Amino acid sequence: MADANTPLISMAEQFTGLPMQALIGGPLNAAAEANGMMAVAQTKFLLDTAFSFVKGTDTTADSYAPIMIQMTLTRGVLVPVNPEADPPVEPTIKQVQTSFDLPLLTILPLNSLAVDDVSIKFDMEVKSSFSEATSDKTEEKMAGASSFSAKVGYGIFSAEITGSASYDRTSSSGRDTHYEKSNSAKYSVSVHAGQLPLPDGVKTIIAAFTNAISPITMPVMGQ
Amino acid sequence: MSQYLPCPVCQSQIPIDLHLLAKGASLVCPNSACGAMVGVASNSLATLSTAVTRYQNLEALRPATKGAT
Repeated sequence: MADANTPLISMAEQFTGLPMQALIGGPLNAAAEANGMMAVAQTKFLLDTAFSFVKGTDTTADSYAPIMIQMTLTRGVLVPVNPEADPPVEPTIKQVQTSFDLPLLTILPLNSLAVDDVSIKFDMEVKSSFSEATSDKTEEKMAGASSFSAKVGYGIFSAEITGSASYDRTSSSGRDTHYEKSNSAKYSVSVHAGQLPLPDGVKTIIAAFTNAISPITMPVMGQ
Repeated sequence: MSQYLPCPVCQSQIPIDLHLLAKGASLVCPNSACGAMVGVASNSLATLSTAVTRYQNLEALRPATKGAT
């Protein structure tokens, strides 16, 4: 017969036995390693594509020079009327083309190459239940019957006595016990790792490169 | 790959498509009052085209990265 004090499965033990480090850390480490590989590949890509290696001399160290690409800017410039011309020149729009150099680094979308979302969801559900049902029923039935008869005769007198006796007894007792207990636990782990933004220093360098392409007004000769 | 380049004339944000630029296309400033066009000079097309190809190869590593999750 089951004991009502039978212990349920320990939830803590169930979770302790799980290799949580491997279950959660494994995919996260894989993603981190992939991200690291991506960062290395990205750095190599940067150095190989956006920079040219400059071998140092005895007095200078090795360095990388940014590769520049030449871009053209075409815009319309309004040529005003020249009343002194003969015949007078009508105002026209002249297409002027300006060339400027731009570091290749500034137009490559570097910061989009990385693991931008890692989501690990691990659900474990452990259920433990215990149920006890006891039914005890006792029934006792007793019955008895007897009869007697006596006859006495004395001369002309006679007497007869008859009798009977019986008894009936019923006894019933019942016990019904129902015991049930359950235990459940759910363990959910959610890990999210996002990409860190570019360092401020890198942003500053790119901003400086970007601003460097803005046209500037050259001083007029003789002034 | 949405990138923007500040227009040298009006400072509006010009959307950049590297693939189009590498093919020699010019990008027009979205500011209709400006109308400036930005493109890559013909002598730099090969450099940009190489960079775009290498970038695509680098980007091809991304599915393997997502699979790790």
